[in-house]
Amino acid sequence: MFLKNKDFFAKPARVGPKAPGDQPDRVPEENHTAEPDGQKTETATMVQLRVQDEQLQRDMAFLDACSRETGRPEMHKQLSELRDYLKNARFTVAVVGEFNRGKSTLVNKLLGQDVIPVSALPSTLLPIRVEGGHRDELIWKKPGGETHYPLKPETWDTLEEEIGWDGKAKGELVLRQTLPVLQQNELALLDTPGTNSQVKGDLSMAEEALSGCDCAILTIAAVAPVSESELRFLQEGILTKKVPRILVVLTKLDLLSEKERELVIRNVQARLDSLQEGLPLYLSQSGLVPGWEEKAGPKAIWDQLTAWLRESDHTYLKCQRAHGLLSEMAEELRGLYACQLEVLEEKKEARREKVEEKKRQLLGNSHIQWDQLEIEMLNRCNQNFTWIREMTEERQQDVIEKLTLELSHTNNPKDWWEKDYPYRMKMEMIALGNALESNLQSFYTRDLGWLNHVLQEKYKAIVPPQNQRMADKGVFRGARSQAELSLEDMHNTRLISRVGTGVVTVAGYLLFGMMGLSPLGMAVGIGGGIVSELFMNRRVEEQRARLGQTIRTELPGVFSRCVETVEKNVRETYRDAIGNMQKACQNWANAQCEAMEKARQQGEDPTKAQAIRQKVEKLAAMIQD
Amino acid sequence: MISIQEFLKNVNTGHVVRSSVPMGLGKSLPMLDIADDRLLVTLFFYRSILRPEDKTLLMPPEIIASFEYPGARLVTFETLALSRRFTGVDFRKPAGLFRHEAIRHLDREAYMAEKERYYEKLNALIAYLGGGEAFTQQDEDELARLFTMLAEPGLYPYYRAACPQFCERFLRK
Ligand SMILES: Nc1nc2c(ncn2[C@@H]2O[C@H](COP(=O)(O)OP(=O)(O)OP(=O)(O)O)[C@@H](O)[C@H]2O)c(=O)[nH]1
Ligand SMILES: [Mg+2]
Repeated sequence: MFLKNKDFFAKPARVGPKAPGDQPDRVPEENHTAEPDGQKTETATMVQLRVQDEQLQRDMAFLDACSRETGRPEMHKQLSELRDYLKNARFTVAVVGEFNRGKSTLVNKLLGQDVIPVSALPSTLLPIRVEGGHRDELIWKKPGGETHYPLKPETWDTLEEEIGWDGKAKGELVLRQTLPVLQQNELALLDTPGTNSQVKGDLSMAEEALSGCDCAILTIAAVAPVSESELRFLQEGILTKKVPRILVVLTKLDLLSEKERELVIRNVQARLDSLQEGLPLYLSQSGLVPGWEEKAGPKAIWDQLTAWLRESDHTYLKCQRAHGLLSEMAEELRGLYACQLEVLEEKKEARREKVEEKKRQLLGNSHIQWDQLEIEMLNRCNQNFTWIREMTEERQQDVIEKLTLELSHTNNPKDWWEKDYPYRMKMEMIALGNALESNLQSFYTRDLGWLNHVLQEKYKAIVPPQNQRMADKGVFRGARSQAELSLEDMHNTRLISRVGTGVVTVAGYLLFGMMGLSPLGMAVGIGGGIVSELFMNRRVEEQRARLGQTIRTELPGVFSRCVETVEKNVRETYRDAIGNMQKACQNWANAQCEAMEKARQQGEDPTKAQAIRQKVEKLAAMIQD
Repeated sequence: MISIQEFLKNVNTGHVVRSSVPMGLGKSLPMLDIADDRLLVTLFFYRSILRPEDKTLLMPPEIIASFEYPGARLVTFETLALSRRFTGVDFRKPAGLFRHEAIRHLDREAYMAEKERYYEKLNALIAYLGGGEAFTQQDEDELARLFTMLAEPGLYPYYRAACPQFCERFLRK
């Protein structure tokens, strides 16, 4: 929601507990909104921003020094990334998604010109940043420096060869264009390699792009809408990265029939809604689906982007995001220094003891919290088991009913048992496996998201997701063990018995015929035939009953063996996450202990304590409430 | 724009509450906050223990969460038992009684009606923040009166911790 009166809380309360003599300050506020010349306030905020900016730079330099002193190299890295992010004054829109989803095509459409090559094969190998410039140029910026290329169609081919397909190439391509849309708007479009293309390391490219952008566009192709991995990328790659603005664009709708289009849109919308993030959905092409005019086509998307671009000063947003990050770092560093200080303030003899005690305390406290996290994770894991049990029990009942019904209609149970039954079971089990897998993956993603949220806050750590399948098809394919049953093939038996009947009939005819009683002989034969047919039917019934019984007793075993395997996998996956969590936490604790140890060694110097005290104060001032 | 009542309904049935808030926790009164130029609704979740004779106990909150308005996107989520700023709290001890002095005279219906009035005032404030009609001094006083009356004194510290700016403005003794 766009806030017009966003300073509401910034102004002092008009009447409050401590405001007996307060002047009602409605007046200046009305003055403010009624000011005819908005220019003045704007420049005022700009100036304030500059000042804030310098302060920000100083804070960052200070934190950097502290991080080096306390041995936290990852903070140094975070800070330099943050610096890049702040330096970039342009509103950066990253287009992300799996490969062949029409990302490059969308960038071209947004620009109204084909500036990036498009192909049906994985084609974008490095992120391509398209921005406004005085002339058209193409630059490959990589860690060692930058190379300029002439902007000709062949260039892309040579570049492709140079970059290679092994995923080892680093950096990004900068494509400067004289396009008016880019020059008029302080905006850059960042095309990224598909997150799932064959080349390794792409995920990190897209993720890196996301941590340095102000807006993300996720492209999803209507021909393969919202896969599990897309959903997961949306959650873990984009939402947890706190990208300020997110937009989802559905591409390739033209490849579907009119009826399918609406169906797919509804489906995608439902999946997005289920995330409860209020993500806006747009269509890449206009004029395809009635009712979507306002949210279809490059113009509509462009309007939304520029609205965001203008809605609030994005450099301000950037500073806010940076302040949040710095405050978190300051808080952590302050904790480290405060520990050191406590140690320093002890007498020399007591110092060692103090350090040991502090370490014990720290580890003790941390262990309690880790245990809590572990318990919560295991609880969540166990909830999955309940769900698995309920779901498979229901499914099992269904399958038994379906199969016994089928059995009751077959004339040759043996044949059915040997040929149809295994096939039916295989299909049922694969379907069950798929249903389990997709649900379990989304539960796991949710639970890991929760864990990472807590870890990030407390220990600045993240547990990477495990790409582990829990209900793999293998589990279910091997699972259709079938009881060894020796059954009589009723088809053969029936044949033999028919031949037998024929023989008896003929024999009876001959025998009784010799006695001059041939009709009687035939009657005996036919009578025998009827009796044997009746007998046969009874046998079929018996076989059916026997098989039905077997299915009812065997199936639950098959299901529960599968469930056991799945549960084992689920437990392992969660255990892995817990193990990684413990490792991350242990690293954190080690860093803290090292810092204390360092302080103990430095304790000889009296000026040291004073210096640290000052740092603690300075850091405290940087922490936002 | 949806009303705060609808918004709360969305939060309640939403993915965050369903997946991350244990069953059986109650919601605090919603409070408004502005961060990053975004309007946030902050709430906390706590357990209450029903006891006879109107002695329902309130336990310390377990979770503080804020959601962006109107989309209900989760913005902050704090598990109090794991949070450094609440290390002094014994989460097994009740924080107070539901029935407090200010609402002693209200029966269930009347209480719900006051709560509804509170929501309506929040709606008015939200409209003002978005650039709509003025939020007058009377409106402000009425919102403060309702909030101060309905919020349970035992939970005041948590209201303040969850949303300092809002309480500074509207929690009056
Ligand atoms: N029919 C149709 N084809 C499309 C659409 N968008 C993209 N394509 C085609 O899909 C193929 C892939 O498009 P790209 O834009 O290269 O896809 P990408 O996501 O950039 O792919 P990578 O760079 O490999 O990750 C190309 O052949 C495009 O012509 C669309 O909306 N409709
Ligand atoms: Mg591409």
